[in-house]
Amino acid sequence: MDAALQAINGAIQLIVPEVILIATVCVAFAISPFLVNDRGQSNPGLRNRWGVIALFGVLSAALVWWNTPHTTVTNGPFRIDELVWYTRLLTFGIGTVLVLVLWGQVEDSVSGECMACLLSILAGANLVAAANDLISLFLALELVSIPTYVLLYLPRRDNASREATIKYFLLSIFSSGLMLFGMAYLFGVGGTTNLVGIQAKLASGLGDAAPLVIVALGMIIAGLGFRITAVPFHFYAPDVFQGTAPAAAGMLSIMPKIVGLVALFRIAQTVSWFTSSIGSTSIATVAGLAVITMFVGNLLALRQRNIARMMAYSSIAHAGYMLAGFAVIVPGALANGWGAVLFYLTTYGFATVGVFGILVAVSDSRKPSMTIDDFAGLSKSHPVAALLMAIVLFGLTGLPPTAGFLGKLSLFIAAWSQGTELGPWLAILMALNAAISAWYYLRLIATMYLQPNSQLGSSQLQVPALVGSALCAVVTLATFVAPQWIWRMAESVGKLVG
Amino acid sequence: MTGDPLSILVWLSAIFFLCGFLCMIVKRNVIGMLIGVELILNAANINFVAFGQLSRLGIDGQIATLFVIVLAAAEAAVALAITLVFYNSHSTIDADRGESLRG
Amino acid sequence: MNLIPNLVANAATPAAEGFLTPEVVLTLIPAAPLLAAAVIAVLGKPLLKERSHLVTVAAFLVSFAMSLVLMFQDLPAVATQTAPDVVTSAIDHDHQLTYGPAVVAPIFQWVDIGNVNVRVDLRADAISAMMLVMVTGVSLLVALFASGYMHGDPGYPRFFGAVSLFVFSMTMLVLAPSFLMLFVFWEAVGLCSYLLIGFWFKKPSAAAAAKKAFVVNRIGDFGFILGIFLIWKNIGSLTFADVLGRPDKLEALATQSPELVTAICLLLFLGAMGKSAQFPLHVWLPDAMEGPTPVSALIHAATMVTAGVYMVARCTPLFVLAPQAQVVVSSIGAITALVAALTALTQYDLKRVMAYSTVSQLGYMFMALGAAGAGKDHATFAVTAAMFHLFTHAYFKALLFLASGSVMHAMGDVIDMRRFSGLKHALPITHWTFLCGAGALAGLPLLAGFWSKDDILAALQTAAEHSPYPQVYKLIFVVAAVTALLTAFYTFRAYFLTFHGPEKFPEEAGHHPHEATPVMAWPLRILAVCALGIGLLVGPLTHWFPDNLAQTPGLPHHEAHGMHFGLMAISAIIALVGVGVAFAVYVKGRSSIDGLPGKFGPLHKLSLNKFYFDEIFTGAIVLPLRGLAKLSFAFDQLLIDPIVDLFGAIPRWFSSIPRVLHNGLVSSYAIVMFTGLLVIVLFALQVLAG
Repeated sequence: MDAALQAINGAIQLIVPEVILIATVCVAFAISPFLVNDRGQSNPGLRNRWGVIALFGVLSAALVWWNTPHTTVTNGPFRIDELVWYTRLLTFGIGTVLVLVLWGQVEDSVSGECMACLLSILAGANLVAAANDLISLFLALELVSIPTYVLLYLPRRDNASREATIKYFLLSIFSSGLMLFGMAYLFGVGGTTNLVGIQAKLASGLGDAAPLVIVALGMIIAGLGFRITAVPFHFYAPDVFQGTAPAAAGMLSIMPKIVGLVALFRIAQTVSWFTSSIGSTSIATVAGLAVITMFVGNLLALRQRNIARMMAYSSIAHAGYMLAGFAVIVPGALANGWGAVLFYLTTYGFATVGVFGILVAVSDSRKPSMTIDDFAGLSKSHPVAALLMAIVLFGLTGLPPTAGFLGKLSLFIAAWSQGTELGPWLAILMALNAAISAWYYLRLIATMYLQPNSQLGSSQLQVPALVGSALCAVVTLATFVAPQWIWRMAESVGKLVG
Repeated sequence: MTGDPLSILVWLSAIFFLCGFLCMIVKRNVIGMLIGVELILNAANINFVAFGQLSRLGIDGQIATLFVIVLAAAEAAVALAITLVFYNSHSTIDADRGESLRG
Repeated sequence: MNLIPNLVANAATPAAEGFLTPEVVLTLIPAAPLLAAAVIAVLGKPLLKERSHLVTVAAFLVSFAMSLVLMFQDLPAVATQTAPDVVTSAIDHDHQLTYGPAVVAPIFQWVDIGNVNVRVDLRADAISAMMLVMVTGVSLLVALFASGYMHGDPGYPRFFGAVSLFVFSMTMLVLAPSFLMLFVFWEAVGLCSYLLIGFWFKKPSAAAAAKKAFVVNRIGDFGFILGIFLIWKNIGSLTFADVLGRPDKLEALATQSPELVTAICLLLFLGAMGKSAQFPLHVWLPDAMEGPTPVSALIHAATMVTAGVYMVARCTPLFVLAPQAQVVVSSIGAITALVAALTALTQYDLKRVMAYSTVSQLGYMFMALGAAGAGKDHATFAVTAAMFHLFTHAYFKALLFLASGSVMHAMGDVIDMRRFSGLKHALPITHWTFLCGAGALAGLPLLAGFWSKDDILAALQTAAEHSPYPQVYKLIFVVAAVTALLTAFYTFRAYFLTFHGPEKFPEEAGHHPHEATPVMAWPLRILAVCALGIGLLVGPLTHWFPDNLAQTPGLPHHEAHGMHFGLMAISAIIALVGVGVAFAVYVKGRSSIDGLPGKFGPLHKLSLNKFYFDEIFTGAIVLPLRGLAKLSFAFDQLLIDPIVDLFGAIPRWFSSIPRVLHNGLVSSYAIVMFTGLLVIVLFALQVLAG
C-alpha cells in the first residue's frame, strides 16, 4: 500500500502545473452554480472576475513550470522530457491569450464554467505530452475533448452552436473510438500499455506483427488526424468553426492541433517510426496525406466568404504543412523536421488565435457569424484592430517581418535537406500552397484597408480580446527579430527523435 | 478460423466494430449514433481484455477497460446533455436536420 | 612616430578599465546615434523642437570619443595580442569573426536553421576604425554647423532625427562583419540619403532629386546583390572572415575560374559606382544638392559616397586576383574624374561646382584603387593612397560645402555665383576657411590634398610600371594630371568669382549680409585647420596613416615608399599653374568673363549642360523604357490577364470538387472518414508487403 501511495505521489509531483490548473477548474465548477440565481442570471461583471481567476490559474501554473529544472524523468504513467517542457510553453503562452479572448465573449452566468473548460483543455494538452502510458494518453486526449464539447456550446447558446456541437461531438467520439481500437491492437503487440515498454518490445523487431502494427498505426492516425484536421478527417472543421462562437473556434484552431501532433509524435516514438522500417513505409503515406491536406485546405478557402469558415480551411492547410514537416523528420539531421514542426506550431498558434481574437473583439453579439464584407473599411473605424489583424494575417501568410516567415522557412529548409527526392518536392508544393493561401489572407487585408467603411464601425471593441490579439501580434513580430530562443527549444525537442 | 480463444475474441471485436460503425452511419437520430459509437468503444475494450491475457502483468488490459468504461460514461453524460439541448431548439434529434452549416 | 596615439591612449586609459571594454566601446559607436534618432522620433516634435540638436550632438560626441578610444587604444591592444591573418579553419557555426587584428562585439544570433546562419555582430579593424574616426568627427562638426544653419526651419527635429539615423546606418555599415550586414546598411544609408535629400519634400525639384538618387543607386545595388550572390554560391559564406580572410581559398577559386572572380569584382564595383557616383551613375549627385547644405557636406562629401570606396578597399583580397577588374575600376575612375572636372568648369551654382568636384575626387580614389592592379606587392600602397585621399578629401570637401552653406546663408539662400561677388570683406571667416579648403582641393603644396594626390599619382606610376596593362595606366596617369590642373582651375575660379571682384549682393541678402554665427564658424575653423595640416600630420610627417592602415587584415605586406620628389614637383607646378590661370582669367580679366562663353562656344555649352548626360539618359534609357512599359501594359491586358484569370479560375474550379462532400451531414462525414482510413491502411500494408 505504501509503495502504491509513494508511486502516486511521485507521479503527481511530475505534473504539478496541471494539478494547479485542475484545482482551479474544480473550484470554478464547484462555485459557479451558486453564483447563478434561479432564473439563470448572475451579477454583471462576473465574467471579469472569472477571467482574472482563470488568468491567475494559468500564470501560477506557468510560474511553477518555469521554476522546475529541465530534467528527464519517467515515472509510471508520466514522462517529463523536453517535449513536455515545450508543450507547456506552448499551452501556457497560447492559453493566456485564449483566456483573454474568451473573457469578453462569454455571458456572465456561464463564465465560470467556460473558463473552467478552457483550463481543463490546457491541462489535458500538457498531460498528453506527459503521458507515458496508452491509458493516460487516451485519458488526456479525452480530457481535451470533453470540455471542448461543452466549450463549443456555452459561450453562445444559439442554434448554430448547437448544431456545431452535435457534429463535433459525434465525429470526435467516433475518432476517439477508432483511436482506442488502434491502441488496443498496439497493446496487443506490445504486451503492456506503458509506452516505454512497448517501445522496448518493438525495438527488437516486429516480425509477424508488422501488419497488425500498421493497422493499429493507421487507426491511431485516423483518430489523431481528426484533431489535426488532416484530410479526410477534416470535414467537421468548417461547419464547426462557422457555427460556434469565435473564441471557441480560436481555441479549436490550435489546441487540438498541438494535442494531435504531440500524441502522434509519442506514438511514433513508441513504434520507432523514425528509426525503423515502419517509418520508411509510412513516410510516403504521411507525405501524401500532407499534400492532399494542404491543397484541399487552400483551394477550398478561396471560395469562402464567411471568415470563420475561411479560417477553418486555413487551419486545415496549415495542418498540411505541419504534416509535411512530420514526414521529413530525419534523425540527427541538422535541420530537424520535428523542431521545425514545433516552431511552426508556435508561430501558427499565436497568429491564428490573434485572428480569432480580433474576430471576437469586433464581433457583435447579435450577429452569429461574420463575412468578409463586414470587415470592409475596418482600418478607418478601428485602426488598431485592423493593424493587429493585418500583422497576424501576414504571419499566417508567411511574409516577413513576421514569425510566420521564419516558420515556413524552417519547414522549407527541413524538407529541402531531407535527403531523398520526396523532400524537395514537398518543399516546392509547400511554397506553391503558401502562394495560393496568400490570396485569401491578403484579400481580407485589402478589404479592411481599401474598401469603404461598413456598419461594423459602430460596435464597441472588446478590450480583453484586443489585448490578447495585441499579445499575439507582438509575439509574431518579436519572434521574427529574435527567434533563436524558441528555435533552440524546438531543436532540443527535435533531438528526441534520436 | 482456429479455435484459439484469442483469435475468436479479436474477430469478435472486429465484428462489433463493424456493427458499431454501421449503426453509426445508418441511424438518423443522435442517440442511435451514440449507441454505435459506444459499440466501437466496447469493441476496443474487448480487444484490451483479450490481449490482456498475454501481457506480463496480466491486468493491464482490464485496467484499461475499466478506465475506458468510466470515460464512456462521462462522454455519454455530456452527449445526452447536448442532445437534450439540441432537442429543445430543433424539436427533433434527427442529426440530418442539422445541416444548415455546409460548404 | 607614435606621438599622437600615445597621447590619446594616455588620456583615455583611466576611463578604459571596467566599464569601457572594447565590446562596449564598439557597441556605443552606432548605438548612441540610434538612441538619439529614437529619442528625437518620439520626443522631437512635442518636446524638444529647437533643442533637438542637443541630442544629436551629444550622441555624435559619444560616438566620436568612442571611435578615438577604439582607434588609439583598443585596436593597438588587439594588434599586440592576436597574430595577423588569423584564419578560420572551416566554415562552421561558431564563426570566428576575428580575422586579423580586429575588435569584435557579438550582438545576437538571428537565425540558425540548418545551413542558414545569420548573426548580427560588430567588427572593427584598422580600416574601419579610420573610417569611424573620420565619419563621426565630420558628423559632429556638421551637426554643430547645422544647428545654426537650420535654425528656424519647421522640420528642425526631423532633420536631426534623420541625420542621427544616417550616422547610425553609416557606422553600422563600416562595422559590418559580413556582406549581408554591409548590404543591409548600404540600403539603410541610401534610404536616409533619400530622406535627407528630399528634406524639403514640398519642393518638387527636391522630391525629384531624392527619387533620382534612390533609383540610380538601385541600379548599382542590383549589381552589388548579384556579386554577393555569386560569392555566396561559390564560397558558401558571406562573412568577411570566411570570404576575405581565406586567401588560399580565393586563390584556388581564381586559378580555377578567373572569369568568375573578375565577374564578382566587377559586380561589386557596380554597386560602388552607384553609391560613389561614378560614371555613368554619377547623375544623381549634383541633383542631390537640393538638400540642405549640411546634408551635402555630410553625406555627399565625407560619408555616404565614400562607402563605395570603403567597400572596394575592403574587398582588396578579391580585387588583387582580378587585374582586368582593376583596370576597369581605374579607367572608370579616370573617366569620371575628367568628365566631372570638365563639367565643373562652367557651373554657376557654387554647390554644383562642389558636387562635381566631389564626383571628380571620388574618381581619383577609384583611379588609385584600380592601381592596385600593379600586383600584390604594390596593392597596399595603392589602397593606402586611395584611403588617404578619402580621408583628407572628407575634411576639405566638408569644409568647402559648409563654407558654401555659410555663403548661401548670408546671401539669403542664393547660390548662383553670377549674383554675388567680392564677399571677402563681408564674410571674413567664411573667406579664409574657404580659401584653406580650396587650396587643399587644388593640391597646393603642403596642404592636405597635395599629399594624397601625390600618393595617387605615385600609385598610378607604379601601376604603369608593373601591371599587365602599362599603356592604360600611363593614359590614366595623364588624365589624372590633367584633371589636377582642371581641379585647381575650377576651384579657384569658384573662389575668385565668389570672394573677389566688386562687392555685389543679391536682394535676398538684405542690407547687410551677416557672417556665420559662432556655432557655424567654429566647425569651419576646425575643418580649415584640418584641411591645412592633417595631410602633413598623418602622412609624411608621422607615417601614422599608412602604418595604421597596413594593419588591416587582407592587405598584403608592403614596403614603405619614400617621398617622390619628382612627382611632388610636378603636382606642385600643376596646381600653381591652375591657380595662376584662374587668377588671370577671373581676377585680372574680370571684366571680360562674360565674353568667355562666346569664345569657347560649343565646348562651353557642352560643359554647362553637364555633357547632356541627363538628356542622354532620358533619350537612351528612360524614353525607351516608357515605351516598353506601354507595350507591356497592352500585352498584359490583352494576353496575360486572360491567362491569369484562367489560372485563377482553375483552383476555384478544382475546389468545387471536394465541396460536394462537404454537405453538412454527419453520417456522410463519418463514411468518408472511414473510407479514408481504409485507403490509408491498405496503402500502407501494400507498401509493407512489397
